[in-house]
Amino acid sequence: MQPATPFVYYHCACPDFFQTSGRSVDASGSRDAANDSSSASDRQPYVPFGTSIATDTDFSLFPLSRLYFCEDCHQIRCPSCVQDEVISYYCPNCLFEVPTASVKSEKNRCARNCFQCPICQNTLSVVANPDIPPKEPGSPEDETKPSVNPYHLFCGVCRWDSQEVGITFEKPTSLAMQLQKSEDASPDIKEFDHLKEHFEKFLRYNTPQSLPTSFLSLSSSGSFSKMGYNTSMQNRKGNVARMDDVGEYKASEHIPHGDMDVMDNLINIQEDTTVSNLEQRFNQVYDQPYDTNQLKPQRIHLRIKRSKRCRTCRHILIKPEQKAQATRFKIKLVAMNYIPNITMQMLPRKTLPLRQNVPTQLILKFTNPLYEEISVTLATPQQHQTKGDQVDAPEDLRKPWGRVTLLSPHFTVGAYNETIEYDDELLYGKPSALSTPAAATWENGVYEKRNNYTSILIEVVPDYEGDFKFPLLVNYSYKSDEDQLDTGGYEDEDGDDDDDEGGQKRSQTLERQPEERTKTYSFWCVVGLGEVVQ
Amino acid sequence: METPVIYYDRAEYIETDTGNKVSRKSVICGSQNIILGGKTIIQTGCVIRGDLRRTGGGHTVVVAIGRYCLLAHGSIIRPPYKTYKGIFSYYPMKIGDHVTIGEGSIVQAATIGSYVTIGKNCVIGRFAIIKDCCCIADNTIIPPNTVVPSFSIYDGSPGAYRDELPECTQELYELKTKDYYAKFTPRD
Ligand SMILES: [Zn+2]
Ligand SMILES: [Zn+2]
Ligand SMILES: [Zn+2]
Ligand SMILES: [Zn+2]
Repeated sequence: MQPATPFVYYHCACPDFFQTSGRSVDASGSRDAANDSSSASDRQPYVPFGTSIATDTDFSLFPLSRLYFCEDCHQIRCPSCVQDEVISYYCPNCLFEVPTASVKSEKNRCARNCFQCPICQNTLSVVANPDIPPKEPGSPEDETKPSVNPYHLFCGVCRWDSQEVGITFEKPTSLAMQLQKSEDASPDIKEFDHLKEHFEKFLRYNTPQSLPTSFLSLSSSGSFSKMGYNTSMQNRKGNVARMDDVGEYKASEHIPHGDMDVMDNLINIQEDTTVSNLEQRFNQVYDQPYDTNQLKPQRIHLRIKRSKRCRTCRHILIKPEQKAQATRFKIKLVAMNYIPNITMQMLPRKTLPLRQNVPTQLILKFTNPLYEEISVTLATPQQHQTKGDQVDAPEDLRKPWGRVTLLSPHFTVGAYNETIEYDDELLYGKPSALSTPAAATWENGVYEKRNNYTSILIEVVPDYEGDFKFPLLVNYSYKSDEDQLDTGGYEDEDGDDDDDEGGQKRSQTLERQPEERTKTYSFWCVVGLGEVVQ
Repeated sequence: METPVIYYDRAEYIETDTGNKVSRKSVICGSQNIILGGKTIIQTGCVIRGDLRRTGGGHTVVVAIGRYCLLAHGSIIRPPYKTYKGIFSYYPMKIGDHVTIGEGSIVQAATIGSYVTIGKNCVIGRFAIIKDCCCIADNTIIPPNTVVPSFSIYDGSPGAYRDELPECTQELYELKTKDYYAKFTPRD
């Protein structure tokens, strides 16, 4: 999963984990840490994830595109800090939106014409058998020979044919309906229905009048959970006694153990092409046949659209449009529209990989998505701890990564505005603009400052071979102008336009502040620069 | 990692009024049947078969490609064909905006939506439909008639659903294609 190529991962302060384990590292926490380090310069900024930075296993590090931003908590939120809710179900093949009410009865699979190949999982197509003429509507039904159905399923990839397993269709539509009978006859379905029937009386008695529609549940798991830990049930003690009245359950289906037969068959086969592989077996869960001749086409699983809430404050961060084919969002608070986007760039005529003990200069490019200029302060902990808390430091903190020098720890990044795009096209069109910026400007550690981005220089000296990565604390603040009301109004209009286009708001300052305020936020990220060679 | 500036030989590329950049070392057949939306790049060795069209009739659009698309080196665009009721015929292909088609990939889709990235050495089968905001990984074979729903990552042979793309895919791919176009500059 971990890319060998350079990357910037952002750290989510995952409140569920870091706060309950006594490590307070929310924005205010890390900001305090930063303030501490500036006031008492001998103290290191606290790295929430330790400094060994296992990017491949750390659950709190993500590329920016996977993160959300809660406007109410003013915090980055990662996929585990949001709560998913189902908005709609649809078939990924025919893109038909399945009403929530029928999802359960259709067993979360497409109930129309979509089947996957039991051999290669490709989508099957329905074809007419040219040898069998389709039944004519007027033809007499009392033919002596049994009528053969003219349609069957066919895989365009592996050429599997449903006639091999005796599945044919009378008509080329409503295929799932035509197979309903044989599906209902399968032992797992029958057993499940039997189980449901067995618990039905009890469940009906206890089921709350309305379950939330977005409940992620099988037909009755909501009620099952009530059996376990519903407080209202504990209050009504009479029901607890009823739980014992459910009665003993006896399986209705009895499938003889065929283990010896299966083994005999496996011993005697000459070619392995008739033995199913794991994926094929797992697609037919109830009997998982070893013999490919017993694999049946399965209806295609439905997919869902989800909305996402901040688990801390319950505000909605993502809300897609319900329609299966729509790709727009009513609400979309993604981190890349709120926090500085950091990318890496090599200096001209410099290439990776890094070399051990060789100082290398690199460019970190900060792009500002906000409508206000931001001022950025960077910090990175140094590995060479000369005094103090080395003994107390956790083991991973003592593991070094090399030296990182931020040549420009303080800088500003210009505000975003819509006309920037045109400038960029003009910029690269002119050959003069492509020449490297004057060396004089480098001395401040700023390589390039244009539009809504600033590129700064860093110097790294890797001490060891292996992956080189280092943590970076990014503090950024911005304030509203004096004529904020005017720009606020202007941005409001833009905000409305954006809403029409997809509900994304780029600016956080739409709420008007009575007095001018500086807002300060901070986050950690990990910059990876790939392998170090000797 | 930021994409570095990509230099090309000024003599090799024709730039149209709408900013399309088409390599002279590509094969564009039936150009009167091809529409390029603007700021689309067609690189060295690409083939677009605008000549494969339904027989009879007058002027038709065979291949329509949107804005800010990239047809990387050696990719091939061929309209899909089938025999329907005994008559063999080609059908038009439509490609949306901000679509990247990787090096050496062969595309015979019916439609490709906007904000789509197709990797290197892929085969997109006849009449495949790729919806908006999708990613087809390198070396993937999408069988004919496959529907790839939005926000999917497909890979393998036959291509199958592997993962979900993030909600900001549209912005990501838009930035990526615009950035590439801006940095695709002539060397002089
Ligand atoms: Zn988190
Ligand atoms: Zn379907
Ligand atoms: Zn197959
Ligand atoms: Zn929140």
